[in-house]
Amino acid sequence: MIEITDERENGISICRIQGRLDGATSATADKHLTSLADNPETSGIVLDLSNLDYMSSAGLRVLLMAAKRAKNGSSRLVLAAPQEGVKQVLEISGFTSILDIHATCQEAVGVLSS
Amino acid sequence: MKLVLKNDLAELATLATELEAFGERERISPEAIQQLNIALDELVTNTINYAFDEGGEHAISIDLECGENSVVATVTDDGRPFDPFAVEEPDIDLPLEERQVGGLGVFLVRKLMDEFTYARDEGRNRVWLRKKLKSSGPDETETL
Repeated sequence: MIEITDERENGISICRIQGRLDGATSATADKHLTSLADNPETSGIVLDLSNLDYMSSAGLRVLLMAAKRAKNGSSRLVLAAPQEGVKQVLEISGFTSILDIHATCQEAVGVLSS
Repeated sequence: MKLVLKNDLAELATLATELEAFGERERISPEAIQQLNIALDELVTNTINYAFDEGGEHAISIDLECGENSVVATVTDDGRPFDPFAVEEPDIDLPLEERQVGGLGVFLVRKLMDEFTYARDEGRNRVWLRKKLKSSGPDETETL
């Protein structure tokens, strides 16, 4: 199960993703992030992962596609507050060096606002 | 414990629930259970998505055994022959623009498990995994 909610602050979308991101739920997350990244009013996306309990490679795929898409549309995708298990998956797959990951949501918003 | 899943991605939720219960019964840390869950998830997802060209309902069996220092899992399916460990590893040092989405699942299996083998046996694929467990005292708690 997955639940995604959005909040918008001066062109920055704060997207909270809750539950499990796997092969069964990744299409939902992908669709949601694609529409955010494609919105010309989006200057940045903060993906709040603090309530994401689990992520497989299907989730990595979603993040990679969204980050590429945001970059092409001249906005940015920033990740915030991943739990230990999710963080480990990001680290193993080398995503910590290609994605911008911050310890807190506030910090991530700050980076996009500056 | 034996678990039989259908070739339907909705079964990933069943896998997660059953693994959690198994972990509690066998007193395996949530961290190790999550790593095992990811490895099994990746293998099962690949099987569901690619192994059954002709469609129809198929069973994917998972046998789990907890020893003193490790957990062993065996995943069996009757799909077309496929050795996941023969797949080339993705290059994880490429920049964002050049990163590819394929191959990361099996890469995670390799990194999260301590041993893995594949065999084609009597018309079935069989993947065998072993995950070492950290020995922990009764008062020691591991957090995820």
